[in-house]
Amino acid sequence: MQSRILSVLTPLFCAVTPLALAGGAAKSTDALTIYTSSNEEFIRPIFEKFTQESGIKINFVADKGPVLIEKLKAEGANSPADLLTTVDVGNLWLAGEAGLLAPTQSAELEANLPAQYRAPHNEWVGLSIRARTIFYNPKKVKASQLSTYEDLASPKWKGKLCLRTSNNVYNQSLVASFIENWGEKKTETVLKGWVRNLAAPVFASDTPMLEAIAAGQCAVGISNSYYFARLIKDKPSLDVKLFWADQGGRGTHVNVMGGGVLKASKKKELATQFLVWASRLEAQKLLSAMNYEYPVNPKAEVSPQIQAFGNFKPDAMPLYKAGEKQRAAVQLMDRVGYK
Amino acid sequence: MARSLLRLIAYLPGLLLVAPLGFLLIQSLGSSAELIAHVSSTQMQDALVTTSEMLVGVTLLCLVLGGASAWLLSRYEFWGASFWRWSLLLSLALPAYVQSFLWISWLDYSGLVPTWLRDHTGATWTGVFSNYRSLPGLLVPVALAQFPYMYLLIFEGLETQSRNLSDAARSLGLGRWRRFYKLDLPILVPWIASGVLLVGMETLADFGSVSVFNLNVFTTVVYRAWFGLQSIETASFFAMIHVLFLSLFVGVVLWFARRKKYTDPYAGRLKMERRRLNKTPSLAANLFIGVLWLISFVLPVLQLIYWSFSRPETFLDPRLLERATNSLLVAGLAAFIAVLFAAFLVFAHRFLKSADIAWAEKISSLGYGIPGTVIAVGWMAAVTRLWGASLQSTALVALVTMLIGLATRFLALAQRPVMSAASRISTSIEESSQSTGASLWRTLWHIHVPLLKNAFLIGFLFVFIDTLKEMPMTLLMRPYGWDTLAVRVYQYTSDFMWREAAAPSLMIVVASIVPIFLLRRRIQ
Repeated sequence: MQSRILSVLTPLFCAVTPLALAGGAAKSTDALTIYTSSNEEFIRPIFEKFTQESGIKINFVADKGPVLIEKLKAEGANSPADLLTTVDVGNLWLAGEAGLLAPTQSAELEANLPAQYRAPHNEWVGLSIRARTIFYNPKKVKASQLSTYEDLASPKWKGKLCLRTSNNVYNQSLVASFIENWGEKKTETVLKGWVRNLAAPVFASDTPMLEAIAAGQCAVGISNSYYFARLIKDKPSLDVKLFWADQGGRGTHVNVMGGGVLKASKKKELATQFLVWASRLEAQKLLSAMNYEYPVNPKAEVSPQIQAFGNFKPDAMPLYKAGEKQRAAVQLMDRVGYK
Repeated sequence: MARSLLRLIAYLPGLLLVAPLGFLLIQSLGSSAELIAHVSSTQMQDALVTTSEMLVGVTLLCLVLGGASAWLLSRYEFWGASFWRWSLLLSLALPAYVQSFLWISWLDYSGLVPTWLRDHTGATWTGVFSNYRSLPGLLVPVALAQFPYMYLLIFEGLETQSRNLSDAARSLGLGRWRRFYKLDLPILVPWIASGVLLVGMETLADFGSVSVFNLNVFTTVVYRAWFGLQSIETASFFAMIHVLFLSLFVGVVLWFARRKKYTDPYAGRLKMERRRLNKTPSLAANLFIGVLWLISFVLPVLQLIYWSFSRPETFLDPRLLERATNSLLVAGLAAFIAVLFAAFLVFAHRFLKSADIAWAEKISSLGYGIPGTVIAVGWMAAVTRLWGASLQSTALVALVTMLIGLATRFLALAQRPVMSAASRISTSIEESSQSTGASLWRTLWHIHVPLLKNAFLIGFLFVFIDTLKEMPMTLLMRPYGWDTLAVRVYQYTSDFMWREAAAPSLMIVVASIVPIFLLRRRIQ
């Protein structure tokens, strides 16, 4: 019986393997290879729209940002990738530091996107903005009780705060921006206060944290704006509301989904063409509508869903500074026991 | 000539495992003392404690659940038993990280059960669920995902035990409990040890479940050093510490199980009789096993079905079938290679009987405790340094190294059943075969292979199922644009997109049921 199974399966494997290999091989007519840390579901329609309009096919690999960077480092000059897009400035900055990115020269890119959201030499550019701000349960907290990020460290929030893990790159960038704006000492005090105020173990992702706020496990938390937008689209009656942090001070912390042309690419012009396309009004509008994010291009239309959250003042800090302070942020979070 | 060839082949699996680790070691020499000190002072104590607690907790739970069910189903006959014997294995189809997010969705504060309790009874006492995402909470999904290994091994041990020893003991007047303590338990030692090693190593290598629960263990320390601190050298250093801890664990278990081998000349024949259970004990047995089956397989699958049907478009995705085919292909090939390696090792052990072969065996089995990411980065480093080009520059190179990585990673799963079965074969067989003038290969082919066929198949199916669920190594080494189901599931679950993860999870379950069915016949 076993030998019969084996005698059927073995030739089957031998027959199917070359087919699988052939299927997996890349076809390169006019095509771009993109490494992206965006969730495949959300980035695929954008790539498809680009292919539709330009005729350039996109082969992409979706994975976590740091993993892609390690991959690119290991691949070196032989990397098949042309473009890297990540969902956080920290990863973009790391890619730049590792010498993986090539500066782009495009007047249109510079005209469409404000300098705050671009690397100093345009090694990378932001394509959409996400805000990381405070969320609260309206049944437990009044908006008038909220103000800044550092206020969440004060004793009045003891046992009421929920946070996402420090392993997550969005929090690392948030803390990096604190270090840049306040210095390490004040940031350390604030983080210690946050950890003291935790109502529950830190969450692995923003969405369950928002649901915990709605369920009453905690009263306040910090999350990205698009998770909230997605959540209340599915469950509009959820007891969670958005509060724009630090409007009286520096403004709410923002981050970008962005991309940069890779040094190893043999098709730098095609890759730049994608970035320029993505910075134009139509693509910006699409990005905003599909992903519930804010466009970087100030002239582009904001998706009506998130327009409902109101206008806000973003922190004017040039984003690359958050990238610079990443490692210090991670080490600081380790030291204060923020898991 | 045949002997030296056999020796060479026996070294191969160990070499293929150790080579990438060697490159990793070289890489770790480049780490900075400052970073090592930082990680050691801030994370290592917590990681050491949590890892040890997780190891002990999961192993004990699996011993209890697996051992009790194996005992009930091997020694007794009752209504439903023949169904339970194979259906308990079905929970092997669910990866531990899928079980993890399922249990969090049921038992965490905002999950199904506490929310229902809050809505229908008083709100206050549901606070007990506030801390579900902690070590005790983690033990449940991980143990439920792994207890079938323990069950299967102990069951196999009980089944192949022949009657004559226990008959002799009974006729000499030993009571039931003393028989169990002095006879059954010691004979089961190699099987229990195998189970403890398997479950322990899989627990040590876990990354998916601990990430979902956000706990700090060695694998997460390595990951965080690599990606959070951007130092692959520091990560390599702590990966080496992890390997040390793993070796310590393996050493301790093997030392406890070092008793002399029990060769049972009637192994496989003269089976133990199964005692018939009366109504009440039969009900109790059914209740215990039934609940176990319910929470480890039925409820998870029902939840997955419910979630995937609330997002039916995930089934219509044509890439789902493509990923399923990829998963099956990789799993089948890796399992085949692993069984081949296991066979060579066991044959070399029997015929060459030298200390270096014993070491080759032990080293080859360590792959199971080494996280997939570590092996992947090791191979990436090795290929880049040796070949000059990236691992993924050709689909063929990527696939071949990935298959080798998978086979060496899961080799222990094939080794254990094969080695345990081989230890039951009397050594006089080789002697009598050689005294008739038969060559080494003839003896292997005509005598050992038929005797070990069952063990080979069990090993194949174990590796097949585990490779189907494997994610970290596949994630890093796969040719670009090429996905497996497990990779897809993890990418969704790490974003807590449970509904989207449900359809590919279900496909893994469906694809795993076939090998489990095949295992079923081995059980009867």
